[in-house]
Amino acid sequence: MVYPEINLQSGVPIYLQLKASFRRMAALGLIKAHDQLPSVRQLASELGINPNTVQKAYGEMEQENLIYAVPGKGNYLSDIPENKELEKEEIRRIFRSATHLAWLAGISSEELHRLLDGTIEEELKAKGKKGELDHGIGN
Amino acid sequence: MMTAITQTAPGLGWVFGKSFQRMRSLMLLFSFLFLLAMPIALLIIGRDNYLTLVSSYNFLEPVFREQNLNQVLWPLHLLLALISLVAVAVLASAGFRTFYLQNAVDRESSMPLGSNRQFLGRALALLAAFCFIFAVNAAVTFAVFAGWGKIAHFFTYSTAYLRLFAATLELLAFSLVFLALSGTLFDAVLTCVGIQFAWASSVFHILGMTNRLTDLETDILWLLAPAARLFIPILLPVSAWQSLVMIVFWSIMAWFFYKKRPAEYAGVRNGQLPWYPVLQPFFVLLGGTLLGSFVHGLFAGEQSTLRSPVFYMGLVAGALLGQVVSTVVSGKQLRKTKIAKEILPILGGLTFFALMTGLVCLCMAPAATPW
Amino acid sequence: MASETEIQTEEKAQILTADRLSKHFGPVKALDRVSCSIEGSSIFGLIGSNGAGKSTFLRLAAGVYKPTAGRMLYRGQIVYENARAKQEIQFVSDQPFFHFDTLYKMSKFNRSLYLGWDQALYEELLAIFPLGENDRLDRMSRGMQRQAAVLLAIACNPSLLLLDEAFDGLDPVMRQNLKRILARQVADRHLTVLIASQNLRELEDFCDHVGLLHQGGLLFVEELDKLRLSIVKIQAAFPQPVTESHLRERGLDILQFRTRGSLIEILARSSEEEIHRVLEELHPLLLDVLPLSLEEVFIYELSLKSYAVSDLLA
Repeated sequence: MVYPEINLQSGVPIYLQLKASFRRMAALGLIKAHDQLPSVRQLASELGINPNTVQKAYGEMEQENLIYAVPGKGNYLSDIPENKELEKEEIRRIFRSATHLAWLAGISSEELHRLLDGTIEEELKAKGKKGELDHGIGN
Repeated sequence: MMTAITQTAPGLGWVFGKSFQRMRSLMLLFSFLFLLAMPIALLIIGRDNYLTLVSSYNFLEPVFREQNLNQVLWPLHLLLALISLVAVAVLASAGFRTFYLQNAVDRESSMPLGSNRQFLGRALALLAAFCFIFAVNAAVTFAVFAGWGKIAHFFTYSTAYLRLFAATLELLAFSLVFLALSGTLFDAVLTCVGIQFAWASSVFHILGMTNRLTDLETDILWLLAPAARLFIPILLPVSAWQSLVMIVFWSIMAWFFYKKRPAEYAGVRNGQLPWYPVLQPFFVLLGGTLLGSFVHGLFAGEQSTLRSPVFYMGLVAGALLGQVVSTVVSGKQLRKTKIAKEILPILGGLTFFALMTGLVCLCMAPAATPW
Repeated sequence: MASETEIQTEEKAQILTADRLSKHFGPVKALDRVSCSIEGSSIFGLIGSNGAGKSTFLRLAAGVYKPTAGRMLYRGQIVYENARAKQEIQFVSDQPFFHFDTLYKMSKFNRSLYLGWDQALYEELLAIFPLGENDRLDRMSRGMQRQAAVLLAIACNPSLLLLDEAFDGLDPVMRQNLKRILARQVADRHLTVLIASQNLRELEDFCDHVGLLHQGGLLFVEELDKLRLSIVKIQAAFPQPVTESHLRERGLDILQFRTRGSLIEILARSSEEEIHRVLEELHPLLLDVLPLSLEEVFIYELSLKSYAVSDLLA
């Protein structure tokens, strides 16, 4: 059972952190479709957070179809490619900011592309050094 | 979750048990002291000495007959009375100790026990403790006398012993009233002793002033001073039933005050509690009669007290003094109180004096004056 | 007298209800017509400075004090002098009192008094807390005594746990342990916890509802997340100058607008989506939406109600 990470000091509401964390873990493949998620009780008592907060996170995730509930058994991760859509939205937003910044600074589109590729390569190398598996990102 | 709890929930028995358990070692201590004071003392005196001392004075002498004592027993009985007095103060304080600490009151008030059970449990535990002390002592003393072949002495004495027991319970019930009312243990003891002293002294002086002291009307004199009743029967006859009536009366009063006592009283000085001004007239009365009599005796001793203006000057001055002292000692904050709250008890005390003097004159015939 | 002590079913669903509750100590109004409801299985934070009335509220809930006016109800029944209700309520005050001097003796004491006592739970907690069963309670530090009191309280398996400044004096490890234990009890046994504290930071990530008491009055009660998201802080930079009125025209509820060079700091009472929608149209170079700490939210909420915040948060 994989537990999400939360940062109590960040100021971001915990239920949002939980949702983001689960999405990230799903995106990274740490949890796969139809894997069982920790129960409210397990998650709350393991992390020392309010069970109602966990309940809220799970409730919203279910509404967003990220997870589905099996009565009497628990919550499971959904098998929907939409999972990545939200991440892509976020990425699109960041790209938009970067693009505007580049135009203002007079950086050409080709240079922008080069910057992106260079960044990806650097990150891959850093990951490789840590000995982590390649999860298909960048391929 | 609120299922049939009442059937097995802890109640009176639990409170009694826990309270009694806490008093146990003190109870045994006083029991031992009782044994020292009477049966062991008797054994130390020895049968022969006892019989010698008692032979010329015994229960048939009128001096001792009414008090059911003899030459040996009366000092031992006096000792018992003293120990009893101390035992009431110590055991009652021990039983109610948690009443005066705010955090203890928090704990006990949040426990799943009603205030009725809490009071009754504690009171019954105290009763049981004293029953134990007196019963054990009686049994051992009986054994001593039986061993000496003087059981008749024991039975004659037992009346005095029972009177002492009744007086002890009366004092206990009276003390419970102040334990229930007060905010701190110190104030509870102080107020309890203070009221008794104030009453007895004031009545004594009023009876003296009105020449009604010769045939000591002990019943009025000791009405609010049960501590005295532990000792008076040694010297003078005392009504047997009054103790029992007063025990019931004080117990009910104590219960009433216990129930009404808010948790926020814990740790608060008595002077700051709302009922305190009601008791202050007693201290006004005390101050007034004491100072009045003193001043009168000093300057105008020949005159009849009630007709001498010196007395009245002393009375008023003493009344003021009584009020001030009782205010200061009780921790009432002088700066904060309204003047009215200070004046009223003074007026009340003086009115009290007038009423009492009037009542005494009306209800009792004066003793024949020697001069 | 059922009609006086019990009320409609809807109020019973609430574990604790204060109904126009007032408590006066002579001329001092510790609590003044406070009304609120706390649902079961929730962790409620009662916040306020010293003398705000938090401890008074807890004591009323525990049945220690009798209300001067109004009612304090546990599951629809008046708490005061209600032994049955008190079987399910545990109150841990900031200065705990112990009838006996060791945890072992106290466990026996509680066991004889509280029907819900769970010996297995007690032993489990004993292993988690850094306390020895035969250590002298009166020789422990205040923080350790509080831990002992909390341990004993939880082991009684209450429905309602009232904690007065529970986390003060606990080291971070113990604090986390306590949170874990409470979270488990809330999830498993539907425990409701009411924590009174001056320290917002402590409660911030643990409570689901908070109430703010000030000078005996309840200023508000709100779900914590709603409170946190009700105000948003935005840092943005735009290629063209943007003024406050620009944003207001587009429907944003601006509370504060500050410029620092080319950077704009905005406090707005609008949802994140709306903010993004409006600001994206202006093609921001930089757009950061930052959540506020609970303390910051309180400060702004209260400054709007024109309370001097220094009075409230000591």
